[in-house]
Amino acid sequence: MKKNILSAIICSVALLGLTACNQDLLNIPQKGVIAYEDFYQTDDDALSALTTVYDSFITVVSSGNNGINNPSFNVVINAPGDEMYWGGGKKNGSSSGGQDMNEFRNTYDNTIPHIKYVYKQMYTLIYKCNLVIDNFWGENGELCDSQTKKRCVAEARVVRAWAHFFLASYWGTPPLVDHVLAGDARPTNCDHQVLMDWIISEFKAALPDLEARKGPNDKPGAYKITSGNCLAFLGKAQVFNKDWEGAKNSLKQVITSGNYALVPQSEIKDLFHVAGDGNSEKVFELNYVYNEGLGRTGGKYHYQRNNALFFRMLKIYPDILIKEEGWGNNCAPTKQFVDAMMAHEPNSARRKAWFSTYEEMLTEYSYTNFKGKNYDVKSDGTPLTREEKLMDANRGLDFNKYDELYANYGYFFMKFMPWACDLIPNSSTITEENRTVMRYPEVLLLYAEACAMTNDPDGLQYLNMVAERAGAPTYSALTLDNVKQEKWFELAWEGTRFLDLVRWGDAPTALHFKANDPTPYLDDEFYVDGSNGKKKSGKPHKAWVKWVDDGWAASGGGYVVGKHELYPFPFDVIELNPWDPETGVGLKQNPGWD
Amino acid sequence: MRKAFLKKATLCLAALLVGFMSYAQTRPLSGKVVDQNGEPVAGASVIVAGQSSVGAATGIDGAYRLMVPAQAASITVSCIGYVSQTVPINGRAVIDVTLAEDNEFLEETVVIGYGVQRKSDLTGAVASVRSAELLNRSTSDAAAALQGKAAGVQIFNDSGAPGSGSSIRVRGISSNSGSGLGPLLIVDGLKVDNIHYLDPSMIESMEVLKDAASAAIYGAQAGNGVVLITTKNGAQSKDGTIFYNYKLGLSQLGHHAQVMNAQQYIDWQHTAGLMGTAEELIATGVWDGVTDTNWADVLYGTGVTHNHTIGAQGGNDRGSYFLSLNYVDENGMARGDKDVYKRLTAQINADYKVKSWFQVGTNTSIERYEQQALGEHSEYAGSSAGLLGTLIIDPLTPVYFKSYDELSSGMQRAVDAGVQKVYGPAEHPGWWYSTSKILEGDGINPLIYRDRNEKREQGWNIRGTMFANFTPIKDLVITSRLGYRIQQKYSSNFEEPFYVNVKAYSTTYSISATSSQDYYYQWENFANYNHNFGKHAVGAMAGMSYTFSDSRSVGASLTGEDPLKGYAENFRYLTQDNGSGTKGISGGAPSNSAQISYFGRLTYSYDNRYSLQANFRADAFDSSKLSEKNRWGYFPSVSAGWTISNESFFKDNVSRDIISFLKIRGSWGINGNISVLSGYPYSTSISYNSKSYQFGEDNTLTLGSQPDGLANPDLTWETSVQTDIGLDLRMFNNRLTFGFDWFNKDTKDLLVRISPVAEVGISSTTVNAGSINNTGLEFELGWQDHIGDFGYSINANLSTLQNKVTYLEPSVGHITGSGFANYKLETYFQEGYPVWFLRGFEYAGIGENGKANYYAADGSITQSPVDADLKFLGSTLPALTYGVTVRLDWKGLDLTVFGTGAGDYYLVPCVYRTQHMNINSLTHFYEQAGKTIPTIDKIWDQTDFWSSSATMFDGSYFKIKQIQLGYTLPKKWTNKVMIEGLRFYASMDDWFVFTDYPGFDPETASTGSSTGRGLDKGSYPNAKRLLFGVNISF
Repeated sequence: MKKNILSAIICSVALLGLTACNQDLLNIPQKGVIAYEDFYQTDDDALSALTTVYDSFITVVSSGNNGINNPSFNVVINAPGDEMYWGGGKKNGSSSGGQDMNEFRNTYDNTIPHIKYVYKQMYTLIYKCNLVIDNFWGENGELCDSQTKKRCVAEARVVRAWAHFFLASYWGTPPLVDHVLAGDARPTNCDHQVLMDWIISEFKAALPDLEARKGPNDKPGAYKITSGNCLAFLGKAQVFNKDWEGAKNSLKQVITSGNYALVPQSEIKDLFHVAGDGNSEKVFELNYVYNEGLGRTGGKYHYQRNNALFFRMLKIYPDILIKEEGWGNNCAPTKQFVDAMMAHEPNSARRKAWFSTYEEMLTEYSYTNFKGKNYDVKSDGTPLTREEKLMDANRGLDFNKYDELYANYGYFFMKFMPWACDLIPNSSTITEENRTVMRYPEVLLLYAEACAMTNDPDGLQYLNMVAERAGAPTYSALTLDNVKQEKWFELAWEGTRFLDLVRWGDAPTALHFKANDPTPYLDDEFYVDGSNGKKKSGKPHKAWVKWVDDGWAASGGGYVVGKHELYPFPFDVIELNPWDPETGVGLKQNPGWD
Repeated sequence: MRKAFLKKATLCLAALLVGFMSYAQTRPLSGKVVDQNGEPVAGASVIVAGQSSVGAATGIDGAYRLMVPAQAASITVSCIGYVSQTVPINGRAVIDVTLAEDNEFLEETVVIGYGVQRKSDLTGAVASVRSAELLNRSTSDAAAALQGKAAGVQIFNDSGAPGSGSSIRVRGISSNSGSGLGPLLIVDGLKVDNIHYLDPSMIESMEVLKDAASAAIYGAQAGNGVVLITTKNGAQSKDGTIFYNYKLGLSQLGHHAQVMNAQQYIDWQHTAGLMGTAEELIATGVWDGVTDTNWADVLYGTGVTHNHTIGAQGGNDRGSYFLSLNYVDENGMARGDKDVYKRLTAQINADYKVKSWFQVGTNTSIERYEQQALGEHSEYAGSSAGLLGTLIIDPLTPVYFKSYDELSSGMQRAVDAGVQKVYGPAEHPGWWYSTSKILEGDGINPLIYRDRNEKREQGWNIRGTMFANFTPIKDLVITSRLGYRIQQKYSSNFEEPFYVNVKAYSTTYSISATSSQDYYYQWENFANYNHNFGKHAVGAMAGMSYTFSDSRSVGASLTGEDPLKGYAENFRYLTQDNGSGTKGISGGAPSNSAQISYFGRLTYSYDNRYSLQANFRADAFDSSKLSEKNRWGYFPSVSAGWTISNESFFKDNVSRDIISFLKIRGSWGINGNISVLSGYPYSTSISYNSKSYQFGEDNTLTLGSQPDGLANPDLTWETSVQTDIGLDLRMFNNRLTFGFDWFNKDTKDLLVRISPVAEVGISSTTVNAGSINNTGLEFELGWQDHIGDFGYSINANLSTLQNKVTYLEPSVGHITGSGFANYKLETYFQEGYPVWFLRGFEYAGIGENGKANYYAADGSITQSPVDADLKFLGSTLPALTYGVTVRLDWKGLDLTVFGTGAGDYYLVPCVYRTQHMNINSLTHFYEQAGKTIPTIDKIWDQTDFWSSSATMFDGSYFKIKQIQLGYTLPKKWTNKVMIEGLRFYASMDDWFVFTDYPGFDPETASTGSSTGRGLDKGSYPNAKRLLFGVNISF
């Protein structure tokens, strides 16, 4: 018995001891990751880190607060301008604030989700740039020991400066973030002029280490940061900084480089489609190629109306467009823009590529194979005439979806509409056209502006180069007004207009109409008014605009001078980091937005 | 007491039987056996000393009568629960005996971690539920059977679907986490992931360790309490028992949601200006004037459940065994066979004393299950939605379209093209399931998603322990125990292209399958030493454990417009891939975790008056949870009890007839909650090649790597500090039992994802930065007695809970939980309020202009509230839960009525949407229009109204969970056919529901996630059930 006891105790102690000591049992390596300390070393690491900058850039411009409905970047760069109505199907559509900003309603405040989204994403992009710069450049280049690293750092610096330029333009005095911040950082506003000077110096500093585009047909040269687009960004910043001579110098270098050229008139319509990806006038664009390996979660594509300037209200759609599905934003060109362009160049290739009239939409496009049916022929196979198309009940506005179309003047975007040819294989909703950040005409027109401001006649040729290519009347003189008009038409909905209006001091007058004028509601004379498309009037299809005062002005809306020039710092951002006058820490809200 | 009586009666039966045999030379002896209080003792055996074949049992009045041999000298009177007595006969013909209670026996033992303890020695708060409480319930889920049975234990059912498990919450909710809210579950010493596999009939007892001191022996895993389950084991008896139990359950929808009928719907919609009058609708063909579909009745019919249990048990002084097979076949109340749960569980429990000092044993459960469930908890018409449809489709839509002409234009196109399936009833070829033509929205004919559902899951689980006990010297037991779980699961899905409307369609086939296999083992070695000397009793326990788990899965999917070689039933497998589809793969990487722990306990009691206990545990977790520098945690606790009733000053002055037992106790301890940590949350690594860009003209990817966040090596688990003060009282000779506990539990270091300021560029990082306080009172009250043959007992429990977030990192401000549609009503986690409270606008009645009024933040009335006016509207967590069980028995008849309820919390039925105005809604909004809420024309497009307290309802309910009437046939009949016991019963479960909630089931109202409690997004309601059963034993 004693023996048993002894052996049992020995056994137990041994058992305890066996598992007791070895803490290595607790070390379970994580799968699919590598340690932070082991990264940011080699040239390959530098390229890998730089890749995340471009990846993040795509996130900035193409996803958004409300995902598939409203890419925030488009809202932020276009909504407050005078070129578009933010439709949304009805007057209180689910636009996450797009309509409020667009019409300067009294509900336009510092909680607009789109503004918050873009602000945050822009700093995420800056963080990605800083990871490259901090880890491969250091303070004074001490970490940079190869040409590859130099180039990667330079590209990251350009993107970082571009992002700061974007922030400075829309928010005035955003924080300058030139290194990776700690988790408990409390950044503060940066003086606008200080920021602009820093941005310009950064573009200049990066320039020597960048590669140049290899000629106008070098498509990949448009998909990344090169010396050409660095100079173009620099020139734009200099224009904004009213450094006209500096701007002329930078922009002229782009023009004379020979690496950029306007595409022929016949290719205008292809500019924002796969056929125009990386063409000679793309200064910088983000490359979208659907990749089977990434699947549909990789983000290198647009989902349906991802560019937001889309419409979804027709019964059937022209073949050229992607298939009807889901919801739409129904954004539309403003009366101001349409009237001006129709007066100036009613039949130019540019006008037709930018927008269609209702009649053109119904008669000039083919509807031959929509869902397997040919709507352009009668049952006996003979083609429909124009008049017959206008009497065709299959065509036109779909009153099953809308009684009447909010904020539409009878004209329809075509410029950014996703086309069937942009679709990725085996999809009816996903397209892969690139997202343009800067186009050569902007370079030419910025140069023209700098010349106009300095009475330098050299700019006129470039102004007319743009107009001529568009199929529009050319100008006899280089005036600022001519540059303004040409830029309005050429770069419509490309996100330059609002900043230009503010910069030129034109915003209060140009944007006065937004809350103050009645809103157009589109109906169709084909139907008896008020029958919601149930009773035909016997008349042909024709846009029928009704103007309704929605009362935005009466409820306190409208452009406020001294406030609406800048976006508010988002409510959440200020709340986390409020300005403390005692310590000088925190973020001050922009004027009028408190 | 009642239970004790039954037990005694059974055990003494043998004596009764032999009593009928009589000897030639005998004389009569009779008398009465009473206890110290003069109460008759029924079922006591009276045996002639030294001649166990001669004896009798006392009747219900305590009286006995037997014939004793003439030469017999004395009788022995014994009964379980009393001290046996031998009384000399001395020629008497009448002998009355007074039996003294055996205090040792009356003290049930209670399972605590790594040991057992006498209930009277408990110094912590432990709720104990015995097998009798769990018998013959309609549920096949052990957790659900716990509902209403123990104070301080809440059971939440997110779903009443067949095979869905319930979740247990002990003393409130002490985490902001989505998971890791439930207690640690230990079955026969094995840590398990759920107890849903355990049929209640296999359970001997469930102990809930509620206070920190009791739970502290489980350290970093015990922060949400511990539930210890002991499965049945064979009883020592001369002969074994074979048992068979059968239950037939019929389930139907119990509490109906009150949605508008056709006339109300049209009226309501017309008032909003969204629809014409009924006449207009008929004239335009939108409505046929007759159809008034009740969609709940369309989906729900009668479900049938069969539950068989067969087994055997027995034991002797060396060993015991319990073998049981349980088979559940549940076809839920949704019509058709798409909500089914089948489970076969074998329980094998056995132990044997190999040597006097060496015992081995095992408790093993083998489970096989198959399950198919309908989609729930979604307001959107995704591929898994469906149940919300029963609430929101308009009643004007018929169930079927009986001809092509009736189909919507979209459906007609789909039928014409023949690629997308348009579902129809199999029993009526040429018919189709309808879709609403009024609104092409998320309200989908529920039969479509039912028929579409081919999502299946099946698996095997083996869970068990093997142990060996050494007893090298008296009072010392050394246990080595290996616990194991082996889990194998296979799930598959098949979806075909279909079309219902613009929001519910698919153009592709989708076939997927996932296979997973997990194993887990724990090895525990511990020693228990208990020794009594004089008035001192000491106990010590020390041990260690090592656990390891490994889980891996592989999944594959195939999607495409035509991905398979064929689509007949027997082609719907991944292997029939024709090469054209898009393939997906998942899994392949093992996920491991490990833990090392040391633990110990010291107990001391003096003279049955003073008890002290101290626990300590040290836990270390693997690197997937915590950084190396932070992996160890230490969890101490102490508790003490004072049995006042054993003090002489008490005994001398208070009659045992009035107060038989009185103890006060208090405890304090620290526990952790480790289950919130997983996936290396403290570290920042480079997410390698996780990003990409295409620099070239083709689709060649350049891959990019970046940090996955900000590192926080200081990250640690949630820690709770809990104080408990309790009182146990028994009065009137133990007829009345009363228990009371007050607790205060502070949990700190909640894991909070904080967003650094936007300019840092990182969206979030995890820190320990939140605290929650739970405090409450728990009462348990019982009364049991009998009047002649009529025995009765009432047991009730009630607990209150105050839950409050006491700290949240100021930079976070709040955490948003769940919301609904585009409304501003959301669940919030914010300092100063209960966890996940409802936040929205506070409705202030109808304004003079007929529009809705709201309270602004400053208390004034406004009709256009702004975000600053959003405020606390109510808690989603019941502040009050209670249960009452009444048992009556009389001559073989028994009746059990059991009810449970919860109160003081709020629910929001997620029904009406301003984005889809034509969906149907609750009758409440129709009936109250113009009375307590504005008329529909004033609110139909007002998201503010639908974000206000006007859409919130009191969720309080009381449910009579069980009314069961049983009859046990008299033994004298059944014994003739060798049947030991035969009981028939009928039961109505969940039959009566008392609530003001207008949705289906206030219990299941949820989004299915812990942050969405209170938002009712269409769950499978608990059915009411009619149950017939038989229990038979041989």
